[in-house]
Amino acid sequence: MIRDSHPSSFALDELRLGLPVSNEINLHVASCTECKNRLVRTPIAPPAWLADLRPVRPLRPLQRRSVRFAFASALAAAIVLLTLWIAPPSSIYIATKGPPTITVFVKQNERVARWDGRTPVKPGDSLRLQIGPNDYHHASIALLNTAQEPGKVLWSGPLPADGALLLPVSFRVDEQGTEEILSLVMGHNPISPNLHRKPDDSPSETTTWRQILVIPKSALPEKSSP
Amino acid sequence: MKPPPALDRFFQDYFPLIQGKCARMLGDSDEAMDVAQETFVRLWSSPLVYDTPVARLAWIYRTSTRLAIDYLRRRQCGVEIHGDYDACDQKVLADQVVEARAWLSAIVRLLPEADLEVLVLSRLDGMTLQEVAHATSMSPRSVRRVLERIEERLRRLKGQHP
Repeated sequence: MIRDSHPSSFALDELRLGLPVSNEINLHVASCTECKNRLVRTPIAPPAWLADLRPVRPLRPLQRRSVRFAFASALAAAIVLLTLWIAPPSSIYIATKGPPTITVFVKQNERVARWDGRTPVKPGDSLRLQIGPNDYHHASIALLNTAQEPGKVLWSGPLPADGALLLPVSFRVDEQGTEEILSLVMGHNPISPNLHRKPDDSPSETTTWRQILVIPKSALPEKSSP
Repeated sequence: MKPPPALDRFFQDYFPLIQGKCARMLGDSDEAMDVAQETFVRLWSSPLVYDTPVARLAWIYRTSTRLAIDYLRRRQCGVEIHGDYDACDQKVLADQVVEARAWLSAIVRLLPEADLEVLVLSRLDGMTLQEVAHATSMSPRSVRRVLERIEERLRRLKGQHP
């Protein structure tokens, strides 16, 4: 608990959250100015991305009152699933016929927003992708040139078994060209970089899903002549 | 029906400690802010919002550590590592955070992710065996074994690259 004469960061965070800690830690913090200062709570201005978070749904306790209730719950769940399946998702996304989805987030200065699928991004913006993998286990993203030839693989790795993955990397928009072209390939096995090539050039692969993202870039302002 | 927590209050309670944890690993950088944001978003969208603060805190330490390790590995992709292995023998104090980050950057590609996670929690966050065990769902004995194995490995690496 107490190392180097101070409690660990974990123990101080427990205190910050009002969790019970040992008497030893309580006594130390009561007499240590440095630890007291670390526990001072200063309100943080809510960042812009906080407004994009959806509210959490209320949690219903498990109820097993009757078979009738269980049947009603199952029916309600089936209706919700059917609704989700039929209704278009509310967020902006790009998807092919299959269930995998891609959401693009654009960070301009400190503001993060979902890309609307049309608005050109600007040089210096950061792009970050969220992948809804459905049944796929691996993904790879590569930057393509204007001829849609594969360039650098930006990220490649496993996907979570359930839920969407917000990629741990972001890509900065450069000043070259008028669009950023990204190739996303998903599959059941680790993705070979060759799969980012055009379908005609790639080996036949029936267990992968490929999507090309073309994100327009705004033209740089013309330099004023002297 | 259990009411959901209010986002603003939840943010003020948890984001500062997530931010502090990420800053210890990545410094006051954009990457630290990105990892902190991602950790918070994942926390908010998980069932942990209805769990106990103890469970949330353990999850925060575990998840932010893994995300930070991912960042450091990508940052160093293709870069030759010049490690300061001596630093692994030192305890990390609050005023040595800068050195600790340099040490973490030096060894981030030398160890498996699971080992790095334990090492960061122990050396960078100064957590005890019991605290690391709680955060990683391992036994204190297993944590001790992992730390001993890491130190042995780093000693061998130091011998190969004096």
